[in-house]
Amino acid sequence: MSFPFPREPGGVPEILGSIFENLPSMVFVKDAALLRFVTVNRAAEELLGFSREELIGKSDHDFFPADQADGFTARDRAVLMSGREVDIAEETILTRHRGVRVLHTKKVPLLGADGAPKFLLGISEDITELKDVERRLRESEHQLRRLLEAIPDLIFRIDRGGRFLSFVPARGMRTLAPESEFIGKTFADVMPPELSRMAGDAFERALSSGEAQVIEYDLVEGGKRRYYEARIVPVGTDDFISIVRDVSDRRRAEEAARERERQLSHAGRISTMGEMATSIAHELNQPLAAILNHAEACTFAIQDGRARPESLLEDLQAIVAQAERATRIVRHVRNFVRKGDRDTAVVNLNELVETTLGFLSFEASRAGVSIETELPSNPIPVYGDPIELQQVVLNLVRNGIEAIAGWNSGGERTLRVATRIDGCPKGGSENEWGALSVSNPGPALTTEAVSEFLEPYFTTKPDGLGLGLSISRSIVEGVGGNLEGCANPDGGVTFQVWIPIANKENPHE
Amino acid sequence: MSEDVIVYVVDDDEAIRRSVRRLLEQVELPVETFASPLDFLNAHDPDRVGCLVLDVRMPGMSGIDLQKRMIEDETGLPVIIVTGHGDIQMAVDSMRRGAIDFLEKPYRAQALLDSIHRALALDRVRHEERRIARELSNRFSRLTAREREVVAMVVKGLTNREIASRVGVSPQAIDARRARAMGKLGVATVPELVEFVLRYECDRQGHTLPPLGQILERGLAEAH
Repeated sequence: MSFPFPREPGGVPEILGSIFENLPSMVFVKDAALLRFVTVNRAAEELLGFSREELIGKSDHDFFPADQADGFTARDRAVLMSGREVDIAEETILTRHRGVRVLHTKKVPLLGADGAPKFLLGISEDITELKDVERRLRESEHQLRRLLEAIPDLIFRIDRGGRFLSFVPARGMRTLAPESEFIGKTFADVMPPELSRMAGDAFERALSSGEAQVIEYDLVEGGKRRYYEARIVPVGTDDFISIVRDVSDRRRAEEAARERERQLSHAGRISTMGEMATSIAHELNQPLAAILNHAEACTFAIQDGRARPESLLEDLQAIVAQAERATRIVRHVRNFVRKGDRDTAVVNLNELVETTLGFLSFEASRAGVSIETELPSNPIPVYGDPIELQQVVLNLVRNGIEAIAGWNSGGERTLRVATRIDGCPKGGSENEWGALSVSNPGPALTTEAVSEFLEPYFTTKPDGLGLGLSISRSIVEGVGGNLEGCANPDGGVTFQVWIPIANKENPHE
Repeated sequence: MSEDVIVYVVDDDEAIRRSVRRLLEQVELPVETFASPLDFLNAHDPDRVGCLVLDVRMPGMSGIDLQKRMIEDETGLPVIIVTGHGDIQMAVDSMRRGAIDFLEKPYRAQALLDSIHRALALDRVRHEERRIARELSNRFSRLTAREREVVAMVVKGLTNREIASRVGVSPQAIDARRARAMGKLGVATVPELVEFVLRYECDRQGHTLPPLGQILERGLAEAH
């Protein structure tokens, strides 16, 4: 049992001995027969926590727990038996002072002159820190992946040639093709032509501007249309990330909200209709009564044998005129309840106001309210859906009538309705807006109180929905106009509406 | 109908005014139309037998307001209410205010004409009664205080002698006073005097007395 490296100062073995001593890895030599330490280097002393004097001549069972020592011994024997070196990528060891360490160990049988194993050489690198870093890296990678997977968006990494490099799936979202089929392919390979072109353009823009681009598109999947939003973000110099989000639910919610609004507005019309039934009956009965009177006048004349053609003609002409009047009323009513798409046209604001006031004259006189109008003789052409605009006028005038009816002051009971061509307070030059103002006397109010009137569901009436003014406002804003309410200095409220004038030059504004 | 009657029509709808005019002219009823209650109040002739066809829905003063105003003015003109769209409450209210009929537009001509004829008949009676009342009141006003005193006692059934002793003059003087009073009132017998006073007092209290004896005569006729 002799020391394997002769200590000869200045000799090669001396140099080897120095290298052996100073290697940062643990090096140990055991005798093949009893597996007792023959020599160890400094790194071994430091790692195991025992000096070489303590170690030499002892075996693993003297330093390590029995099961660990058994394991080491068994492996040592296997190495010696096989006669080949063995690489143990990872083994754990309980050290005296440094706790549990993870080692990467290489065990090599050293053969004697007779070819039989004489010693076992072991070289162990302490990879505890490395393993720890690796583990943490793996964990953080895992977390990142979990995070990416939790994002409900598909994420693609794409090179500047539009080639898919990698992708993170999203739960509930399918890609156009299985991952294996589109990685390495380009837009044109996997996308419908139009979408491919659209995405390509967005890439160009992202590339030239260096800024994120957003495109929206829809695809029919399994007979159902789905809507997507793709955000294309340049990353580094050559790559892009494309984040694709399914916005179908949002789109549907928006769609549903719009539909609800349409229904609400229709319901508003219907309830307005109910309230107007009395008025309409009256409007229709007027021409019907006139027709009957003329017809019976003719009948009497003929029965008495005193009918003169010119007199009959006069009655018949009056009958025709009154029948036409009735037809106009019916047409108005039908238009008013009609649902369906907005029908935009150039509307004369003055005419619109006059027609609508006709609907309300009965209501006004029943409430003891007189309506004073100030309508210029020149038409004020505005752009909008005549029926919707009529509803705005109707709501404002009816509100005015109800405000006066509910105000028991004994004061003036006149509602003032005026139109003019005007500038608009929200900007915009003179002579661009058709303006309508509806002004009712009443108690003094603050501006804040008046602005509350325009909030949805605000109502002072026990049976009111509180939607009239807010619907009116959304109608007016829908045609690019503005609706405002302000308190009159001498009490009461004035509501003003501005609607863009329909010019020949820009018929769509 | 040649008699001097007039049908007033108040309606703010020009077509209605014109058509009612045509209808009434066809049956030879004189007609005047007005666009507003105020126009009517300013223009109508209270001394003519007539009636008013009134639309209750109108700007400014409503038909109902006009009806109220006419009651306050004791015009007494029969009113036919027409409306483009009435409810029961409106009908009840206007009848309570003295309308003789309530027609909903559109109405048949005959319904309107029936109402108008009934209204004119009522107004004719009303005018006749008013004429009589005025005449009675006229004659009564010619009596001196002493003559009125004697008339009152005669009607109460006192004899000349009893009256003479109460007043403190001779029975002959009472006799002469009574004859003078009956002459001024245009009555020949004591029963006629009693009827005159009864009628006069009824008129002053706003009642109408039917021709005396009518009820009895009718009762006798039925007994036979």
